Amino acid sequence: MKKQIKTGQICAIFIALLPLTKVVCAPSYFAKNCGEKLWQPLIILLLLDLLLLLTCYFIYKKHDNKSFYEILISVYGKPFANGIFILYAIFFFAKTVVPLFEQKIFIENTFYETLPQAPVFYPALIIIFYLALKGLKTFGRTCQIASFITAIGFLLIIFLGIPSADYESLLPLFAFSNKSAPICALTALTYFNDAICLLFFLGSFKAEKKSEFKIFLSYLIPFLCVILFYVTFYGIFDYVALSRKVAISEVGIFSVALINVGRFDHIALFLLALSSIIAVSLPITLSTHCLVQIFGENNRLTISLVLTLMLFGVCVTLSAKYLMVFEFISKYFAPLFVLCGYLLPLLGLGGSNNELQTG
Amino acid sequence: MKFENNLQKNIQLFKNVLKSDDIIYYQFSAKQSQFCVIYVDSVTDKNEAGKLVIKAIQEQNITNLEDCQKKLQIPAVEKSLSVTDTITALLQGKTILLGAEKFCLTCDFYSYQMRAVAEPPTSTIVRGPREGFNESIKTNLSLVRRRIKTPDFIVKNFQVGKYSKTQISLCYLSSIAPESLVNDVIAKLSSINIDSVPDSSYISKLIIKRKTSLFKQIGNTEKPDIFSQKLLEGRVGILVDGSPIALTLPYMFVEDFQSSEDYFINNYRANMVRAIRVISLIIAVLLPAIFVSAQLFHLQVIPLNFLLTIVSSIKGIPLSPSFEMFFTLLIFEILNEASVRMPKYVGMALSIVGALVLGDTAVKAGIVSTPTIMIMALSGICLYTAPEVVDSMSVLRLVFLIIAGTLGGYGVIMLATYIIIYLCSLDNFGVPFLAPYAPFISNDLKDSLYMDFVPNMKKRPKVLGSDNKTRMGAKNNEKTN
Repeated sequence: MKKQIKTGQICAIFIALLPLTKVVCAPSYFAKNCGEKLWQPLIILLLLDLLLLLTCYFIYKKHDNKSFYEILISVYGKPFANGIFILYAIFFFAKTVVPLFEQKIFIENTFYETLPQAPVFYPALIIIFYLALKGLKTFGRTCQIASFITAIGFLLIIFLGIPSADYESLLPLFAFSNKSAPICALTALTYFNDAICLLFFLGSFKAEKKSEFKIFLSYLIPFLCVILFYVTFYGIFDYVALSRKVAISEVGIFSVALINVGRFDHIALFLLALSSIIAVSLPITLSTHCLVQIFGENNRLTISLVLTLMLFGVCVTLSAKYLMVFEFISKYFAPLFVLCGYLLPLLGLGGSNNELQTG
Repeated sequence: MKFENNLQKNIQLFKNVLKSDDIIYYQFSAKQSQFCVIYVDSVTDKNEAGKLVIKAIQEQNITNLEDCQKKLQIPAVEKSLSVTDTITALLQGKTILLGAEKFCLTCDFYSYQMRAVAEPPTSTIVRGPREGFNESIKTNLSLVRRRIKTPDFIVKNFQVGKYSKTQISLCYLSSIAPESLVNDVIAKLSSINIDSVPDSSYISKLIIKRKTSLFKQIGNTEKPDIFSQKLLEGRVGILVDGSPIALTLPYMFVEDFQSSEDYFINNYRANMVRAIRVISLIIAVLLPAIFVSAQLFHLQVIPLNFLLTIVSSIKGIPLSPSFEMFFTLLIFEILNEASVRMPKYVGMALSIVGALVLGDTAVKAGIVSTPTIMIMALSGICLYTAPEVVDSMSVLRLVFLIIAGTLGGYGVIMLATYIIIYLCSLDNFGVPFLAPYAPFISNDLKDSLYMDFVPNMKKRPKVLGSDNKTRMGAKNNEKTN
């Protein structure tokens, strides 16, 4: 096995990227569907993801760090493994679309208020292509740098927002009457389910001392920060939160410090914009990874190029119809997200070590 | 070609190949025998050769070369049977003694004028050793030998250059440097095929993996103390005859922010200085781009009072912010280049013309604004806090400026992201370029952008992959040298 990624890099991927796709338009969607109980679907998603992390770690331990692809081949045969990996390639591609569109909205609305700057965003696709081409090793290293950037930017934004938030608007806290929470969680899967990444890092990393604990914490802490961000967002805007489309750029806007010295929250937003490019690259990198397993490392360039061009095509034709795309994906792709995100990983629990060794 | 029992025929063998006027053939007789001394005029100590060879042979009535080798005190005398090898030795500065025999003797009276060991102009320090390498590889090796007195210090010599036959010495500590690294460098040095090697920078360009990269991939130093310390960390070093710049590898980006003085001064001050270098470099590269993009696309980022100042100063300026900054940058680069090239005695005039006349008049004439001049001056000064990266960063500054003028702040962010990814993907001789940050290696953080107290740096950098890990306070059973 060729080691490509270290435990620290997996932790860095979660720290650097986990919050970023969830803090643009998702908070207003959650506020719209769940109101003051917007934290409830987040808890559901967090628990599901932590379970998935444990499942992945169990698969790792059971199969002695074989890759998911190798496990599928050994247990179910190559055609089945290829089929599953093509499904995952589609899954990851679909998971990229909404966050990518939201990044575009975030960039254009936050940094370029007065001018129509659509072409400004598209060069980001070159970076997405470049990361997909470079593979997991470079991705892991990049995230180690990006984790500092995200941490600084995200915490700064939260701290700017906290003084303006009125958390009383979240009360009553433990009224579990809202039936929309599970449905909201289901339709928002495009933003979540990052723990699935770990399944595709199997075979590329070797667990170190207490790595399960480190990975668990690196997932839990950013997720809790996301929950804090959501409740702060709702605490600031209350029932008008559903109309605030780009939450990340609006949470810190009422800070007294900003009024005195200017919009220095933009420094944090620029930092987050940097990490966001990497965050939206993750699904495409994993999509490339899946197809490379099937078609071979020699075709990595072609695969990543084709995927990026497809993404570019989708972006050019559909990015203006964000709401329509979001509704379509959250409605029709939800079964795929559930299947690939939470059910198919269970396939890795099949088989035994003996089968793998002889297979 | 082989030697014969005839002196004139042997001399002719050399004359057929060596037609240069500075090759001297001095024939003399002793008793009944005839000898000939051949040497290159410009690189031979003629007095010594005359005294120790010609005069000695005549005084002791020696009749053959065998007796010469046995009886005379000639430095580094060796018997040579091959004419080709002898010619190569002659061109490297050896003196040849020919007789009417089927071999000849080579001896070393190599001498040429060289610069004294002095403080290198590129890395002056307040505290610490001031010796610097010069153009003589022997002097340079002696400076390193003075600092590392162990049999583990290995020097492997190579001859590179079809015409220059330049001596290159690969230096490493056999007990510290990883064997794979040494073998890799040896293979790369052996594979070089080039006419000549005018400077060590040629070698660095020829052995790196990514030859078109903007970023430096091999470290260099003019100071033997730094060179020795790098070897003791587990790196290998390359000395090139004729070049005062020694190469060290593998190289990491953090090395650009380290100075030898950091280890000799107070630790707190050293950390402050390192932080200043990092901040300065970010300012140098990004400040002009940020200023332009803020003016063009992100006015909301600029605090109101500062915005009013800018507005009043750019009133009536005919150039756009990006072109104005580009123009100022161009002037700065021209002044910079001129100050390096022009004679020193006109340097003062250049300062006056550049700083006062051009700068002040351009502002008064309303061609450029005061903030632009200030930003460019700040950027220019900051760049030189890390002199090793000036080449690449000055190019990057220009690219960032162009991107900022066309795509704005997000363009700057995208370019920064691309550079981070690119640097993360770089490996130099198996060592990640951005280590110890990407990949994160906690042990190596003790001497990175942050510097721990010297007594706490007990381990060698882990990233270099040395088996000999401990450099301070090792137990007896641990491998140390």
